[in-house]
Amino acid sequence: MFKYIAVQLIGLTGLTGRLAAALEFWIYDTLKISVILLGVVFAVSYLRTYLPPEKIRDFLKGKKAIVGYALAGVLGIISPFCSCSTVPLFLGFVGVGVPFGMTITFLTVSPMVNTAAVFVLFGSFGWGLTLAYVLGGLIVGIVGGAGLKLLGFERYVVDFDFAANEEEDVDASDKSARQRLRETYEDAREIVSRIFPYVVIGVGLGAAIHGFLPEGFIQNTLQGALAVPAATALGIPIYTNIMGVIPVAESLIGKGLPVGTSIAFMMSVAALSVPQFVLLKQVMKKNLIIAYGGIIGFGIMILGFIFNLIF
Amino acid sequence: MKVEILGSEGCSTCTQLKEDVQNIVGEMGKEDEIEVVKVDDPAKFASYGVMSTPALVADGEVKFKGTVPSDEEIKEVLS
Repeated sequence: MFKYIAVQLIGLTGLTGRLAAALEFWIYDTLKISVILLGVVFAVSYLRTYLPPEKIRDFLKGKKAIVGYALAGVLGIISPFCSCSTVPLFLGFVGVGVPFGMTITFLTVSPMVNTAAVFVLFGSFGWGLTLAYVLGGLIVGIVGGAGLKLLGFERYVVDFDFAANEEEDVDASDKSARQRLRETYEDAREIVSRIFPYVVIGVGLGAAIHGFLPEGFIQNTLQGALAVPAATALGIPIYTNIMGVIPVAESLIGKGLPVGTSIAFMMSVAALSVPQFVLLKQVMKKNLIIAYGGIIGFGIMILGFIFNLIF
Repeated sequence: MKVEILGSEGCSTCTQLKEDVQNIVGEMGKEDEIEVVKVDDPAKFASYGVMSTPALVADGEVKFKGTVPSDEEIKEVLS
């Protein structure tokens, strides 16, 4: 349907060739991502009024390792939070006894895989790649969390006091429907207005690549063993939302960039970024941040290599 | 009364909550009695047991967290 609208609109302008291809991509992807983003964010924001972070924390508190890590990852997927709440969440989790490793898993998966991204990935790439991305993200998060825990990096968390006064009720079932809707609206509006600029930029870049990057350019330059590490490294200085990087990856794959390399790039952009490290510095000592970046980056590269072999 | 708005940098709903509260304080004509401050130190959030922002703390007591309260709810706390 979106394709049809895009094609019709381009037809009206009478453009042809590269510019038309770029514009068509731009209209199509902007429409598609906006519709999915709005729908999913509203739906998830509503569901989340039943699942405040206190509840997530209580779920994770007494869990055994295997179940706990898997659950931490899944909760990371369904809870799209702003990078500005990363630090308070981290303190809140660790402060009341959620195991350190599971907290790391939650924090890693959350920006990398979220519900809206899952739907957009599905719309752009089909189910195979979406499944690979989601499972891959979970595995990187779980291995990263468990790895840092096993290597003893917990001691590099900055000291702080968390008010454990919280035997208060975290029961979220007593809210009125009206209150839920209001919270949903506030939440969704905040999320969409924060993400949307990244989508516009991402789709613009994607469109430019789609229309103007010569065929064969990628085959000639971005192949070989170094492509995956390079894509991962390139993702670190780039700071955007996962929703903003999907359209770029979409057109890069269209131009022949291998799937594993593309996934490594998307994950690195989402999970590893300089602003994120600066935020984490408030609660983690340098050794932990370096180890965190190292282990997650390494995981992403391994995943990229594996996916390049599979797809 | 001292009202603290807890919110990390880059959290737009937190800035909005601070403005809401200041407007309501103004409407109620209580500028002299109620002091509104923004707190952006995560360690401070933790000391209040808050893990989701924005949060509103009145005289050291957490009233709302993780949500922007409605005007009526804010008024209730301030009066």
